[in-house]
Parts: sequence; structure tokens; C-alpha cells
Amino acid sequence: MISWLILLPLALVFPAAPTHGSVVQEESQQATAIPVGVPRWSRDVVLGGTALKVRPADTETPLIVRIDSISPHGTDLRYDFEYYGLEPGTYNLLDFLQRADGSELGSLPALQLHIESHLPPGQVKPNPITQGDTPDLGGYRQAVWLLGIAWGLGTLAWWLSRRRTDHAAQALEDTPPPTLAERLAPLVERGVRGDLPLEDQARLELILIAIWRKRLGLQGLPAAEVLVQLKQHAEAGVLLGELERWLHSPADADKQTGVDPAQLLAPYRDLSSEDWDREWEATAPRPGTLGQGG
Amino acid sequence: MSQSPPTPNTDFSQSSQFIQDVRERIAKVVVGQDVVVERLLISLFTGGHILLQGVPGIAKTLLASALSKAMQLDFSRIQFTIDLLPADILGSEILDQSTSTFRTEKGPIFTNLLLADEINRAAPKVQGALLEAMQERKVTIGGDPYILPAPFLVIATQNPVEQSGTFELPEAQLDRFMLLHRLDYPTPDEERIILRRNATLGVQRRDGGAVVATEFDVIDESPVGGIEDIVAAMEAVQSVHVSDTFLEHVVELVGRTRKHPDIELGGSPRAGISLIKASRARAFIFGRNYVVPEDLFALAEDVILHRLRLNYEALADGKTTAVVLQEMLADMGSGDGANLKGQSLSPGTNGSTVTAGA
Repeated sequence: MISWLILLPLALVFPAAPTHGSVVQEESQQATAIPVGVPRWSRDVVLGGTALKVRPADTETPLIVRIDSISPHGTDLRYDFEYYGLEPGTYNLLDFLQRADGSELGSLPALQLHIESHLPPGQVKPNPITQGDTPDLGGYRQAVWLLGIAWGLGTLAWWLSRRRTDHAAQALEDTPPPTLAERLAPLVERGVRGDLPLEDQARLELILIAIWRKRLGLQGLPAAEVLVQLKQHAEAGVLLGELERWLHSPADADKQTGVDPAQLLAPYRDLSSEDWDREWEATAPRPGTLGQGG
Repeated sequence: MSQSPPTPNTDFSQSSQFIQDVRERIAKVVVGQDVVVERLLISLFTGGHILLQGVPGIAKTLLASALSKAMQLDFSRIQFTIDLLPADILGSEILDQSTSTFRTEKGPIFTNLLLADEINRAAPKVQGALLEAMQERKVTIGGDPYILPAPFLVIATQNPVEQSGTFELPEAQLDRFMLLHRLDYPTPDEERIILRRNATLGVQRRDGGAVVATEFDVIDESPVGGIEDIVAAMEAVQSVHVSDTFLEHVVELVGRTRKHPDIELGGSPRAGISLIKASRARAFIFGRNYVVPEDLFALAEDVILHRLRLNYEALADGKTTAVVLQEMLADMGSGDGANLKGQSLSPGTNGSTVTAGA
């Protein structure tokens, strides 16, 4: 099957093959014109007579021929030719051969070749190569682009998130902690209303002690000494004494003590933290005056 | 340290007079040390024991002796040494050759008031025997249990300076002492009085000779009260009211000792129990029938400090348990409120660091 496919075009190219010699040539090289400079082969070309050789070529030779091999074929010889044209035109391959023994070629069938140039006449250099588009390699470039965009967006999102977190942390850091007065306010409100839970009663007492400790500048004293000093202070001593009776005396003694939580806590009800701070600064005792304030 | 003026309470008037008499009697021979006397009374009235930590020569023995005589209590003193044996304290069975039977010889622990001087110089097994007796209030000699007298108070002492050749009491044994009080030197004024008194002691004729009199010789032997007064005081202490608010303060303070980042071992439940017991006794001594935060703040160091152990980082930073405890006390109310409920509180505003003797 394959041989038929090869032989059919050869039969079309060499319709007048002599009976004493057959020519079998490569597919398509005779069917179409051969470009200048492009080698072609004609194999198993049987020619009668003595052995042939290539005529010596010079700079003007339009077709370069080479005999690859010669092998006997009955009384004839079988040749494998290789050739390429340097000038466009139609040539007989035999014109470039001669008998090795110097005898005449005799009547051999012509081996026609058509060499043509793809360049316009007069053009020596080849056509410039036009650069085509980079072939699509399975979407690699798109994937790289997408990855790059995703990385960029991710980095941007991370940076924005971190910036926001930093701002929040900075804002939290810049926010001053609640003052003692701010902590005290909700407890006082509930104490005045009379619905202060047990845990908050304990907190209320401790915060009031802390407030008076700060107000009288007793932070440097041991805790035990602080309360002793506070009890000796005219204002703090009365307050803390009543607070103790309210919070710590036995339940059946409440009526005896007559402590009214609302009245007790009233002075602490409407003071803002700024008021406290101002008052503390104004009333801070001078060193050595503690306990003499009435 | 000055104290709040006591508020007389008619319910406690009889006991208050007894306490006042004891204080005055002790003050005749021991100058200052009012707080120590108060702590001794607290221990006596609550059935706890007290460890006094201080350098030698600040009248620890004199104080115990004066207290025992003022209250008509039996008093024994044991000088703890390395070669002391448990039997030297508890007693032992001795073979009576006349009857060929064993008889029990009770040790000095069978007394009302036991001064265990320099307890950290004895071997751990001796310390253990004493501490076990303190806890159980009974000893076993030759397989037979013997109940210790009531009241029974151990006043142990240890020298904080010289630690060579001593056996430091571990935290578990320190926890058996309700109070650990750190004794300070007397103030200059007190020291002048001490010196003047000592200079007037003179000599004491004895058996045809004479010895230089000491402070022990001038202790008034007549008691101002007896065991009945102590029992009455103990019962009165039990009637002192402890409010729920005060319990909250104690829970918070003990909880803070367990959560503090510098503390490896915090206060045990026994610490909270001891704090309330001691606070009730202090309230009673000051004539109140209810405890107040002042009791807690005044007793926190003596009750809690010896039950705490700092972690390595805090020790490396040069911190002491006293400083850490004072920070915690100062933070109560103004601090971060780690143990508080109902309101989110941020770190304290005053940031005070109270210094105290370690």
C-alpha cells in the first residue's frame, strides 16, 4: 500500500521511462517545484551503460548533484542521487553527469527537475522572519497572571487588615483606663437604688477605700496602715465607718445603725472623673499633715 | 503600727476588760510589742498557733512567760537543737524498776503555752512530731493516745538571719501555723525605756547570795484572769459576725494569691479560714461584734505571707512575698479586678507599689 502511494506520483513525473531502465524517485520531489537550496533525493534510479559520475562544478553551476551510491542492477546500474538547485529553472539531471570512463552518455531518459525560487527576482536575502504569537501553553501565562494578581490582592488585604488592627490596638492603648470614679459610678447608682448585689457591695467598699487612699495620697503606705489612717481622717473616717456598719454589721443591727445607703453614697453620685481628679489635686494633703484634717 | 481606737461594745465589756488587763500586765515587763501581744491573743482565742520570726533578744521568751503568768497558764519552753528527739518533746515510757512496769513520762508539750524556741534548728522528724501534735492536739506515747491540755498554744520562734545548720520549715508545715509574725526591733523611744528599766533591776538576794535580777524576776505572778476568761473570750470570738461582704474580700484576696503571675504557690483554703478566724478574734479584741476590712488588711501579712511561694522569675527579679502581697492588697478595689465579677476592669490607675519589709 505504501509502495503504491510512492510509485503513483513517480509514474506521473516520469511517463516516458525507457524500457531498459526504470526510475524510482522520492515522493513529491518531482510533483512540485523544488525550492532553491533545498536538497532532494532520487533513489534507485536505474540507468544503462557504464558508471556515471558528477561533472565538476564551478561557481556558475546552477544545480549541485551528488551520487550517494551506485549498485548493480542486472546489466545496468542503480543510482541514488542527491541534489539541490542554486538557480531557478528546469534542469535535466543527466546534464550534470558524465561517464566515469569518459565515454558518451548515450541515449538515456531525461531526468527533469524544476527549481524555483520563492524570493522575488533580484532579491538575494531571504524574507524577514515574521514573529508569530507565543503559542498558548495550556494557560500557563494566564495562571501566572492570576497568581500574581491574587498575591497582590492578598498582600494588600493583609496589609490593610494589619493596619486596621494596629490602629485598633493603638486606639485601645491610647484609651485611658477607667478611673476609679468611672468604676464607682455604676456601683453607686445601684447602691442608691438598693439593688447592689453582694459581689458588687464588696467592690464598692474596696473602690471607695482605694479612692480615699488616692485622694489622701496614701499609696505609699502598707495596706493595713492605710485603713488606720483613713479612719482617723474626718471625712473618710465617717464615711468608711458608716460603710462598714452598712455592709458588715449583723443584719439585725441595720436598724440600730440607721445607715441609709442612698444618703451615704449621694456625694459620689454625680461626680465625673474629671471632678474627682480636680478635687484630688486641690485637696491632696501636704506631707506630714495627714490625720490633722479634723 | 498604730491601731484604730477600739469601739467599746457592751456585749464584750467583760472580756474587753480582761484583755486590757492582760495587755497592761505584759506592758509592765515588755516594752512595745503591742501588735505581738495582739497576735498572741488572737492565736490563743482561735486555737491557732503562732510562729514568731525575729532576731534574738527582742523579748520573745519574756513575752510568752508574761502572757502565761498573766493568764495563769502552764508554760514550757523547749530550745530546739539538732540532737533533740521527738520523745524529748512528747514524752516516753520509762521502765520503773521498782515495779517492773512501764510508766508514761509526759513531755513538755503537755502544757497550755509552749514556747518552741528556734524551731528550725531541730531535725525534721522533731518538727513533724510537734506540728502533728499541734494539728491533732493529742500525742501518742507507747501506743496510748494522750489529749493535750486546753487551751494549747504553741509559740514557735525562728531566727531569720542565721540559717546555717537549720532545717527550714516546708510550706506544708508552715501552713499549720495560723500566724507568722515578723518581729521588729523596738523604736528608739521604746529602747530607751527598755534600757532605763533594765538599769533599775538591781540584784536579787537568794539563798544567802545574790543574782543580778532580770526582767523575768519582775513579772507579776498574780494572774489577771484564768482559763475561764479565755474560754469566755473564745466563745465570744465565735459570736463575732462575719458578713458576706467580708467573705467576698477574703475570697478575692486568696484568689489573687493563686492567680498572681509572680506566685508559684498561693494561699490554701486554710489561709482563708485562718484569715477569718483571726479577723474575728481581732474584731473581738477591738470590741467589735463584726469584722471589717481593717481586720483583713491588718492580718493579711501575718496570715497569708508564709503560705506563699514566689516563682523563679519573681525571685530572680529580686521581689519578695511581702512586696507582692502589698501590691495585691493595694490593687484590691483599684486594680485589674481579675477576680471581680460583673464589670470589666482595666489595670489600676494608681500603679502604686507599696514597699514593705520582706
